[in-house]
Amino acid sequence: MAHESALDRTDAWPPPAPAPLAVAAGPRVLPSDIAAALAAYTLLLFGVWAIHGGASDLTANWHQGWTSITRISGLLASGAGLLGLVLVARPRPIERRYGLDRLFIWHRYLSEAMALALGVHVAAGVVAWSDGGYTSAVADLTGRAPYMAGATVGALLIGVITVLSLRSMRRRISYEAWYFVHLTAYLAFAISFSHEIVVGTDLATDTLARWAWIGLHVAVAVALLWGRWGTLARAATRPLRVASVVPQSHDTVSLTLNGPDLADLPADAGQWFLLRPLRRGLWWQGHPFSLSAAPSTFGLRFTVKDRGDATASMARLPVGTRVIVEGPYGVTTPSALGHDKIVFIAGGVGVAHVRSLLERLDQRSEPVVLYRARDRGDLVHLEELQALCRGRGGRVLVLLGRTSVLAGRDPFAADALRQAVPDLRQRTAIACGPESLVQAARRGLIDAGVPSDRIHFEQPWW
Amino acid sequence: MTSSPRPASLARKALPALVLTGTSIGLLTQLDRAGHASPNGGLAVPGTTATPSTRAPSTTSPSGAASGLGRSAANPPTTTPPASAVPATPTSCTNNPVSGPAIMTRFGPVQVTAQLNDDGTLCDITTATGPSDDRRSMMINTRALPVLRLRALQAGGTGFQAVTGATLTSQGYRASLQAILDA
Repeated sequence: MAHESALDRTDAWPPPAPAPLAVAAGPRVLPSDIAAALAAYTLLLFGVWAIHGGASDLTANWHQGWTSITRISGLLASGAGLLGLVLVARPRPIERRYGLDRLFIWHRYLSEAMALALGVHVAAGVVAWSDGGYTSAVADLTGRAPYMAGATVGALLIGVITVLSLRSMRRRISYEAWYFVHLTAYLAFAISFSHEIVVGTDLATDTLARWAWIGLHVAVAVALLWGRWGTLARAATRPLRVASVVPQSHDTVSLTLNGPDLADLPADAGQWFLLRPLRRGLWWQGHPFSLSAAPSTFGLRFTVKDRGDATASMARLPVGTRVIVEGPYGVTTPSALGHDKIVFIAGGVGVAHVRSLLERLDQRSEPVVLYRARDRGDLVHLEELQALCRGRGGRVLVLLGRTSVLAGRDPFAADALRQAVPDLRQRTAIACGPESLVQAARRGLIDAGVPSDRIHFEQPWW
Repeated sequence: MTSSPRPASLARKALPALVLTGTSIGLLTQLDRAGHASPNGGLAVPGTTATPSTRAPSTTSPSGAASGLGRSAANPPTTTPPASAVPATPTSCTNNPVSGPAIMTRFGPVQVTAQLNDDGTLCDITTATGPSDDRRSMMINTRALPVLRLRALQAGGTGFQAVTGATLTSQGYRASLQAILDA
């Protein structure tokens, strides 16, 4: 039987004394590197436009002016879109500095910028060609002119994705449906590419610029294939297995994964992984989970709360199930915290993050954990947290009660925080949990005078 | 055995995206009316849709654009499309051709020669010089110049729409023609 053989392997596996896993190492970008690269990139886009007379065309005449706006907005739209794709490739040097969740947030900002520039591009294009009438311009630009049909459909696709990504629309459709629809942006990029290098004045008329543009697209495509799908393929060749599933509360379990390939996997306390159990309905999507114990050769422990949908099935995985593990991600690691005194503000499964970090903190941290939960039954890992805090001269403060009951007295207001943690301003703060909790905590901490560069929060993005 | 709720299937979650992709490709094939090589590069003259006959001759000579690529843009008579493409144009213009000035554009000079009717209206236009500084320009111009001629003749002057992707050539063409009409 499959499970038995899996157990045989895992039984033979744990070495007598668990040793910590290696910590992921490698270059990390500096903020100044990013600023320089962004400045050079923007300068190049404007430069291509300017050396083909973009700036002087602006004021030349009505037609050339609008054409010039069309050109620069088109270049900027593509430029922002390509940068957004670079972030999706999860470049390791940037991830190690800022964390994958920030990369996805920037991806969203860049996509918004792209949609905005594309709107200007389309509008200005229609105006620029309208000297034969708007009807004729629209007819030309939607397919009567060569290569423009692809550009039109591409712009429509980006429009659909943009509308569906608006917060009010996004809430009405399931994450997965939205995710797949938003992948059609690749199609939009592909079918609108030819009009850029054939119709676009800056690229069509300049061999060097055209080849540089093509090269840029090829480079981004390679980065995407390598960074996104290459790493997934490599992770798929060394899956871990579910070694144990331990209930922690009525709706939460802890899941330990290990396997022969575990030793090759770098990981540190405070990091998170994308888990993809090889089970029907689960294999096609990675779900983010934080380590809830310091990673060791004994295994990776995660804490999974049943929030319906996929997490429900995650909490019921049979022992022995193979799980593809992508990661590690995240930058709130013990080395990033140094020897600071720490205050944690946690809620929900965010407590996993706290639990793993506590294990690797030393006496100097004197950790204080503010643990927010609806009721006693929702608390997980409480004894572990208390034991770890006691051993480090710290304590756990539990805040119970439904949000509606607490209304009117914000548990994370500056006064409340200062009262609970008198030396708050001397501490580094880490907030983890649902978005509303993290935002409330962040506001309170800033009001209480904690400098924002000492407030850490990460949110694997759903 | 616990009866775990079955997670939503991949197929159902991916359906909206697949529908969108299919719609896009369908729309793409419907919209693209420029795919067939025709002397006017698929760029219809405004009003063409109302008179399909002007388009018919174009599509019956699909080799026009391809052979045009091999020609020198400075060899004007051969760049002129069949007169049948503009039914309104008389088959013969009797007056002497008048050359306009060569208008410099970033991609080279554009110069047209026009024959006017006795009343001063346009009878026919030929391109004396088209910009040809590189392969790209030639490709644009072998497509754009015939279209510009058609549009100018239909407009009876310079009040015509520029050709998409050949803005500067269109402007040069207009300026050279305007000089002839003003003279």
